[in-house]
Amino acid sequence: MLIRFAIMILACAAVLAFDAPHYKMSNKRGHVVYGIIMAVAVYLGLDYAVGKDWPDLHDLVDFVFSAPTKMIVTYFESKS
Amino acid sequence: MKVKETVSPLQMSTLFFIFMTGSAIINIPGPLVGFAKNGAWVSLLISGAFGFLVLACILYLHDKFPGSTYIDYTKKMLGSWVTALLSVPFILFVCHMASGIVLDMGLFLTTSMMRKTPVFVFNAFTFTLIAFTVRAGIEVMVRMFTNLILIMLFFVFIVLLLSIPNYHPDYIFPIMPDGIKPVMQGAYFSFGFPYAEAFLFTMLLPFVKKNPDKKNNRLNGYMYLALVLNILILILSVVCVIFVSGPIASDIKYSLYMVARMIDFQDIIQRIESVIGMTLIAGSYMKATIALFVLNLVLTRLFRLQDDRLLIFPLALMCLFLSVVLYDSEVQWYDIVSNTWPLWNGIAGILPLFLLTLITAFKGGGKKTGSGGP
Repeated sequence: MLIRFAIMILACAAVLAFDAPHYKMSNKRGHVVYGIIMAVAVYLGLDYAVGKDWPDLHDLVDFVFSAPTKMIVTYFESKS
Repeated sequence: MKVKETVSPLQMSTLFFIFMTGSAIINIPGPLVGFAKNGAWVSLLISGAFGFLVLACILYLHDKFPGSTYIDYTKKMLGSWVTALLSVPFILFVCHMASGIVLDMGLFLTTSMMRKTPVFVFNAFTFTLIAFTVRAGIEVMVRMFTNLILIMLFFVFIVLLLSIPNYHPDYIFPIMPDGIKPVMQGAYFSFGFPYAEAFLFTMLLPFVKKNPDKKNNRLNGYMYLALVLNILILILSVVCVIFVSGPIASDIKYSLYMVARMIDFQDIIQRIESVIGMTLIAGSYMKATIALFVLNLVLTRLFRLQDDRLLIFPLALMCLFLSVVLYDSEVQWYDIVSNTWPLWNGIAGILPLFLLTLITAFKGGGKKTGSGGP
């Protein structure tokens, strides 16, 4: 877990260091959007680091689409 | 914000061909044969026909709103709030796509070649390369990818050619032993990947150089040609896989990889499956790059940011972490890709596209001169 934390911090730091000049030159809207995306990235990074399978995009997609998908697949797999 | 880069109609159609064929040629045959058995090529014809419909809508909207992206003309036709609403599934879908493509490549490498290496290593290197490629811009992408796809196709054709001694043409019969439903299931799967994903090009067509000669619109012709070539190549690879392995092709995830493994030409050319491995990696890299480029462009246009390169690295980082947390098990991953993906694709991209096309057709929206565009 420590190694994963280190990797996560390293990756985030690398991105922030690289983007620092562009971030400074950007306007407030750019700062907000950048911040939101980085926040999501940090959340997913922490999910990767702790390995606890926190809710992610797959869970959302599964929640929304699993029932209709099952209906479609059942229809296709039923005998004609 | 003005688009500084432009590509020719031929380059855009090449990019389209690369996007549709890049990873599909390796990933499609196995699962498709699993669903449709010997009728897999019929499934591709059906899903390809729907692909033509999708492409027709994309080109119609591009013609009505020259120089405008999907976000621009959706704002014009439906307003900002509806655009923001429709953008949410679009953005989530493209994130999922980019992460899934790289994850698939990482899983291929960790299951077939380097089993002890964590998948994060492959995904991290890939996303770093993808981020820098996106940063270089669409002109660089197209030029580089044209070379890569030619090399890819060369190797695929060599493999298919050298496999001729292993072909059993009688394996193709009977064509639909269980009726039409398995073929329709195969068409449902292949529609989701790759044909429905073409809606991403609603964001890329504005990069095509404006053609002052309206009578000679080559873009449409080239795009349709690219789609036809894609369908033919996928059918060829599926049929060849069936010729080699028959019904057991469905049990092998990377069928073309298995076909390459079986090549034994004069005891000199043997075990050339690593060539297909390289093809898979190159194809996945190109497709994921286009997906990340579109994702960055959507967010930049939606929020009207001045710097179109600001979000590339955070998006790549987000997709990287998403790619490593997405995967729970083989069964779950197979279920997403085979069954859920076409529906997710349809809701996120195709349904809004069709809706917008119908509204534009009825309202008669759009102007002949490019307004509101780059």
